[in-house]
Amino acid sequence: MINSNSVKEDIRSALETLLGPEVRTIGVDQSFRDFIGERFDSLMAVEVVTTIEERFGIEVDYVGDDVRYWFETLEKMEQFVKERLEDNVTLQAM
Amino acid sequence: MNALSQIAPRFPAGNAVVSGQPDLWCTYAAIRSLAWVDQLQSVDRPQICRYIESRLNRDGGYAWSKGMPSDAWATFYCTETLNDLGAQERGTQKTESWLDSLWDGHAYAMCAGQGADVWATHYAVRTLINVCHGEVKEPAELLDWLSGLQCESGGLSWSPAFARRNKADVRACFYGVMAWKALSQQGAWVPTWDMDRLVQWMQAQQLECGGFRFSEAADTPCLWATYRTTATLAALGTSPLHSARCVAWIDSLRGPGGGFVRWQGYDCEDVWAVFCAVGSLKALGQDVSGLAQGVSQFIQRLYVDNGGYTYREKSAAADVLTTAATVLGGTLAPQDRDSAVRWIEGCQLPNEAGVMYMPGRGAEVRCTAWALAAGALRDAVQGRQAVLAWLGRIQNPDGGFGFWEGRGSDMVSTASAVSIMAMLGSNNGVDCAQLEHFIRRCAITQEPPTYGNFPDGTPTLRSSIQALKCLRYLGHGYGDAMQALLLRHKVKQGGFANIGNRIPDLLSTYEAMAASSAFDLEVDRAHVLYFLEKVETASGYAWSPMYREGQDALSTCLGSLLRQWFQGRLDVLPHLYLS
Repeated sequence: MINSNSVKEDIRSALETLLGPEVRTIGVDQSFRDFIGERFDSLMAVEVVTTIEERFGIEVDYVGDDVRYWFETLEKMEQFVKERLEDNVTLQAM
Repeated sequence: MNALSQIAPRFPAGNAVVSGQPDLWCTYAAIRSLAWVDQLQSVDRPQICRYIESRLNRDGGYAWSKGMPSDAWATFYCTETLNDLGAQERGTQKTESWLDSLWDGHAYAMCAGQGADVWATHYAVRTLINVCHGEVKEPAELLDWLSGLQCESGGLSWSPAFARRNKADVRACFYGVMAWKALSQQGAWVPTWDMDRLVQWMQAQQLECGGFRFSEAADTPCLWATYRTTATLAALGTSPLHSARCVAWIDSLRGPGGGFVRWQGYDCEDVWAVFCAVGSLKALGQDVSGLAQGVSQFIQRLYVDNGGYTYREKSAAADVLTTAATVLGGTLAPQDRDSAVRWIEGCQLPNEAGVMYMPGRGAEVRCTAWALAAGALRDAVQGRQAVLAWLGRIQNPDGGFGFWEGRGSDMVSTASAVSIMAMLGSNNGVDCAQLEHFIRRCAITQEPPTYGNFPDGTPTLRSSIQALKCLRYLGHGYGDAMQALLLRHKVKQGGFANIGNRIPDLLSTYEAMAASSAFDLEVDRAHVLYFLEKVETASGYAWSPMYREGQDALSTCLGSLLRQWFQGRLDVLPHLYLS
């Protein structure tokens, strides 16, 4: 079982390095796009995805995964990461 | 008389497609014109500032469109417009550092890694000194480069290499002189130009009617040439030989809508003509307050609600790329398609026989390729010959082609020029040996062969595809290299990525398929079709599966062409390049 609090905290910690300390104040269901404002462009979206990939050792499928949806809020990111980590555990057990 | 003089200055006939989007150049020209006639109080400053600031990249430069790389021209227009609007210029330190990256050792380029030209040097130096309050780091080097712009005729050219070919142009005179004037703010730097001969050459470009032409190679006077000349002469403390005649000629170009037209007999008032007319009249020492109300009312009609301006009333402000893309997409009824092609053909206007992105602007290599691909000039022998002659005339001394006349070479424009030659079935007048030399200079690595958009650029899939296709046109093989290149950028889930192999986009995928088709390479249909499904929307195709709202006529065109090709309804994918 993946620890929910740990994943959430790890996401905040990883994104703090990229986006700055204000990430600590964003609500779990608040849109990153709205929170970051004009600075949040497609390049930054890719950097957010890459940061999460590196932190958790997962791979995002830019074609099949709805990146815009799953990386919109901390809550959705957490769900996405947890599912991927559980998939990895299952795959390793096979 | 040359072939170009046969082209009458008339707004294109036929029905074209309007993108409905504002344009950066138009926005700059609109705001500057309103500032000149003291009418800025009527504009929506916060909205326009938001539109301009949305072009700011994180490197400190500004781009023509959101998501595109920064360039010196867009940066000048954006920062000048923000200044005109009294907006607090943010992050000029970053902008200054970015401008430093454009230095090529002698002068400034539009983008980092590109060769310098006088357009870019003017924009970069003025932004650096007047907006960023910075300094040119190597003023002596720049002065040498500027000094080298003078031609045997006395006028200035686009670069020292062009000057050795004695190709002067009043636009180059403007940009060279204004770059020097900005540089002189940081010290007593004076180029070694023969000022008397420079002034005499510019004054000699005034024709009997009172208006000016670009150079001896152009025989139709226009407001663009007139503004560049009168403003340059004023900056040098002098004036045209026949100022009163020039003022009367400008007045004769005033239209009923409060604006101006670029050429005598032209039937469309536009924002650039207004900018050039008002600027010229000011340079000639005229009082422009009487124009204020008419100009202000005219410009108000060009406003696009999301914050910028276009070139004429927004409901009729069509452009060639959007129209050509709609024609190529294959959704128009035959009658509408013919009408749209006729409109595109009308964007071949006096003095520059290439096709203009918007009528009244300047002829662009890339747009001309799109226009021909859409079927323009298919039966117009004289028009096709004029395009080829224009192409030969604007080829840069380094062998490549730039965005338009005098601009530094880049791979997108060079590949577009090759595409034009292929469609015209001739390369007469183009130096193919020099062309190949430029393409090979853009090689970033030899093994595997990768290419950048400029000689010191970053290697990408699209630049490499474009280079290999050009080399193939020039008689070289490279089928294995193309296959290996596509494999390196193939995204395993579907589509192709411009950099690396993780993030696919429609433009790269289209170019990969067009290259596969041209080189007769095997295609993984399921792989590309899966990607195509992911970018297909209810009303067209998006540029990226990550942002399906991001679609326009061009992305829909490329997606539709791919779909038709896979369905066997299209034998060959047109060679279309954007970036």
